[in-house]
Amino acid sequence: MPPIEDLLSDEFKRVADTVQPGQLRPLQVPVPGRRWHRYLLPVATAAAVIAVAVAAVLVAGPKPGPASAPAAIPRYYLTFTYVTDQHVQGMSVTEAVIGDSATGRITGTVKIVTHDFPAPVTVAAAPDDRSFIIGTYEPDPKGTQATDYQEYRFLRLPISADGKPGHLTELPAYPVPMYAFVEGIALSPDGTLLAVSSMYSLGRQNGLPAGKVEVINLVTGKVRIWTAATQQGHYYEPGPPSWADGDRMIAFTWQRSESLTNDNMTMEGVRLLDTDAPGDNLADSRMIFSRMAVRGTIQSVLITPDGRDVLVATSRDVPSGGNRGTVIAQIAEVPTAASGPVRIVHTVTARYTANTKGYLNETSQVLSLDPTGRYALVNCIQFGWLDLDLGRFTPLPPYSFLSAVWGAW
Amino acid sequence: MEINSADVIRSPGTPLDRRGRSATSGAADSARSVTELFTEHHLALVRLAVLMVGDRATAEDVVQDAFEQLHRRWRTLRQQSSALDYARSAVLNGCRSVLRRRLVARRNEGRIARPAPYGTDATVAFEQRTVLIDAFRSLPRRQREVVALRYYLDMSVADTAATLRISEGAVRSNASRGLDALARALPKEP
Repeated sequence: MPPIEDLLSDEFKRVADTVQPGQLRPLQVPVPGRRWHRYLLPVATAAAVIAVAVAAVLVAGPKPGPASAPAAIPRYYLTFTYVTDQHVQGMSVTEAVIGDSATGRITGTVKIVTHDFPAPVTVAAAPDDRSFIIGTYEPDPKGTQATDYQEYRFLRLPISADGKPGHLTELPAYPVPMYAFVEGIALSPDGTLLAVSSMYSLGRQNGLPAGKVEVINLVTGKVRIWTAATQQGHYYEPGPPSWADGDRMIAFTWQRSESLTNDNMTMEGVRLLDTDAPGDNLADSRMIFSRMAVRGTIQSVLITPDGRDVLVATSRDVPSGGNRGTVIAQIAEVPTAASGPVRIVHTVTARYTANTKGYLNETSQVLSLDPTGRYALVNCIQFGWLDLDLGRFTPLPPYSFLSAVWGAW
Repeated sequence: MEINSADVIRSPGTPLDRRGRSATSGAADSARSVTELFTEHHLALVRLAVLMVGDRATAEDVVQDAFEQLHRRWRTLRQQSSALDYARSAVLNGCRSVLRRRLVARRNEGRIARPAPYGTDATVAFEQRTVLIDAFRSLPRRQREVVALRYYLDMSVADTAATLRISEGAVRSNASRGLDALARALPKEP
């Protein structure tokens, strides 16, 4: 018999080799701020102001230079509330609620009437900071049978400078069958292209399921469609879209079904679609990182406008599958480049209960980024906005915990 | 559905510097250094943690936590060249905490719900189980750590002593006792 040391080394090697490089997650680091930074910042700002003033006087005479206003959060945000005690012609009412981002004060509401309750609404903020696009199923679309067919339509909601809602205006009808489900929408930075992620043919009688990303030109009405066909016994589902690199790239989550007859989905990661490239196969989009890039389950993502990072909402319970302990919702920033650490921007921890676990996936969401990519509207167990540079979270109404809130700004 | 806010234990906003905005060179340097260390030693540390705790998911969490600690304390490390030693120590500390929690859970098994088996890791855990590995995992903590560093990582007595912050004599005696116990656990040859 070989010496115990040799036996032990062989056994250690065998056990260690059960872990292979491709199975491991990348590094995640919360980058610490420095306390002196808060004192340094006013000093640096004052110095910069003095320097600019002196330079302006020296170079351009006594005229004041252009004010460099700090980046600000979008003025208004929009969320939805489901009004259980109101009906219009027997149909349910959902309210779009406009709030002031700085104060949380509600500035106006708009009623949206739908067959379904809660209504399958989606929303995207327009870059002008004064309007939103709301998507929902029309109860009785013109020229169609409501029992067989519904159109998913888009409405523009303008708001005034003081946050009061204007009239809803219907955009060109966009037919989505009633057995399809719209996952999310996003407007391009110039406000002309509307990206729509959807899942078609969820009913078994309607053929094979297919995930789609569609881009509607709101000026010309032209639509381009990318479809993910079923492959080797699986279908694929794209999550809500977000734009990067102007109106060229679209990022979305990518889930794979266990089988064609089973709705259980596995999150595979995040993909990036180049809309300038030819073709209509959604599977030709590029996987920019896998689910292994972050701890926990990816719930939603938004790519930053410069395309350098993807903001990811995740959730997990510790110990895993233990039906006890802790649930964790986290917002992380993952670089789209192959290397670089994942930055943990915000973490909320709650005791494990049936509610916290059950609602964690709906309450761990990145909802909307401002045009600079610095401020994000999120739901991380609680609804509010995040300054991604400082990692600072500010709650917004509704202030309740573990309440699923959908919205945009 | 809502829950009482008392259920939310903490909600820390983590200060953060982003590339090209408020990043400070010190923070960027530490991120780069920790990333390099991570790239080079991540696999080996996860494997070490797997030996200690027995499943990959927990091992990955332990190593992740160790690197988070390292990143937070990077600027206060006396010798940044010893960062790997720090990471190893942090991993072993993390493994200790995991094993301690499991011990407490086992003691209270009758009173609390039993956790579900480790899903996808179940096969891996099965592959890892042998008489020798079981005996190794049942060694006293110090012996287990010394044996792992000496006979898995092939560390010298001096390096093992430095990593575990014990004397070289303690390394030798713990290694000897550990090996004796493991030899006794093996089935006798006919």
